[in-house]
Amino acid sequence: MTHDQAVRLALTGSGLMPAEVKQHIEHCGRCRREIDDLRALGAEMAGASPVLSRDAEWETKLIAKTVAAATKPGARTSRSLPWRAAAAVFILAAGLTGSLSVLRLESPGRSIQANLSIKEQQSVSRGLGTLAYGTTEDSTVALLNLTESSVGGQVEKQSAEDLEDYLGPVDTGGWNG
Amino acid sequence: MAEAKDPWLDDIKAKRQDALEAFVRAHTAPLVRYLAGMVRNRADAEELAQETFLRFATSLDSFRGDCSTRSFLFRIGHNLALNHLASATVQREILTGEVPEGRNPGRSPDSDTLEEERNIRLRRVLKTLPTQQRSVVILRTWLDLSFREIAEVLSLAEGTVKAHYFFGLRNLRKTLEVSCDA
Repeated sequence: MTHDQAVRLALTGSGLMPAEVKQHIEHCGRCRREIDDLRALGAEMAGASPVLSRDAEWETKLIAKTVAAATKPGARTSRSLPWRAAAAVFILAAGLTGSLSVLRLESPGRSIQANLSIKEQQSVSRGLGTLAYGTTEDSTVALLNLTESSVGGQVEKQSAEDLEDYLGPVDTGGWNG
Repeated sequence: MAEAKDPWLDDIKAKRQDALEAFVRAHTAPLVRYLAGMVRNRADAEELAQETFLRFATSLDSFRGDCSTRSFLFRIGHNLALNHLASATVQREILTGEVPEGRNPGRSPDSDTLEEERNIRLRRVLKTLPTQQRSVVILRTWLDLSFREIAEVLSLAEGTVKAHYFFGLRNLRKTLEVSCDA
């Protein structure tokens, strides 16, 4: 039990102090002095409260405004809650619809299909369908078909020799001597 | 110990006009006094009190009654006072303190003057306290609120409020001692 704890408990407690605190205060003159000082200061501060003269006219206006604000129909009431809920649902629905249309416009399948011939588009659709509903093996094959049909027409096929020329000699980095 | 039932709650929630009028009448002076202690300016305090009552009136439907109506009112006022202190260029006007109503007529003018000087000094020292300590000391000593009610107003734990009160009074005493020595 420190002095601070004892003084704080004595000053702010409801009178039912633990025996330990009582015992400490009984034997500690410093704590007793501080408790008396702070209690006296609290009482003095209570007396220092400014008593402001009342302005009857202002008070009457204030009462009228408060009553009007509490009882006017436009005030926030529980009756406006269903409308707020409806508005929230509408905003949410509009937001979802907007997001979905943006996603559909920007979906990869759509952007690929836009640049392809009818035959290629059919192939892409089949591939996407298999990707969505088929087995893992079907999906792999479909993905390969899809890549070939969407990229194949745009990239020139290169032979193995061309690729080797392009890549140059393989540098093993001295790993094997 | 069971808490006394809030006498205002049901009538105020039902927005009974006579109850609202009586509530405003009963709490205007304490609220203005608290706000004046916080913002140190009577005109601002009255403006804030008006705003407090209007917000109180329009928030009655959302008030669940989880604290007393008085605590709810003072919480709104306290938050407005904090906003005011944070946003406005706070005027350093010291409350001069008008002559209290119903002063003991048996006292001599000299003793009144001395007492008033002392009160002004106390209020001046009060404004040097940190905001939380100042709020607690004002609510406790000027308005006689319980620590529990103060905790509701300031949205703090009761133990924290008690600590603020203790340190607030101790800081006041220190500052008064220094100003006496100077």
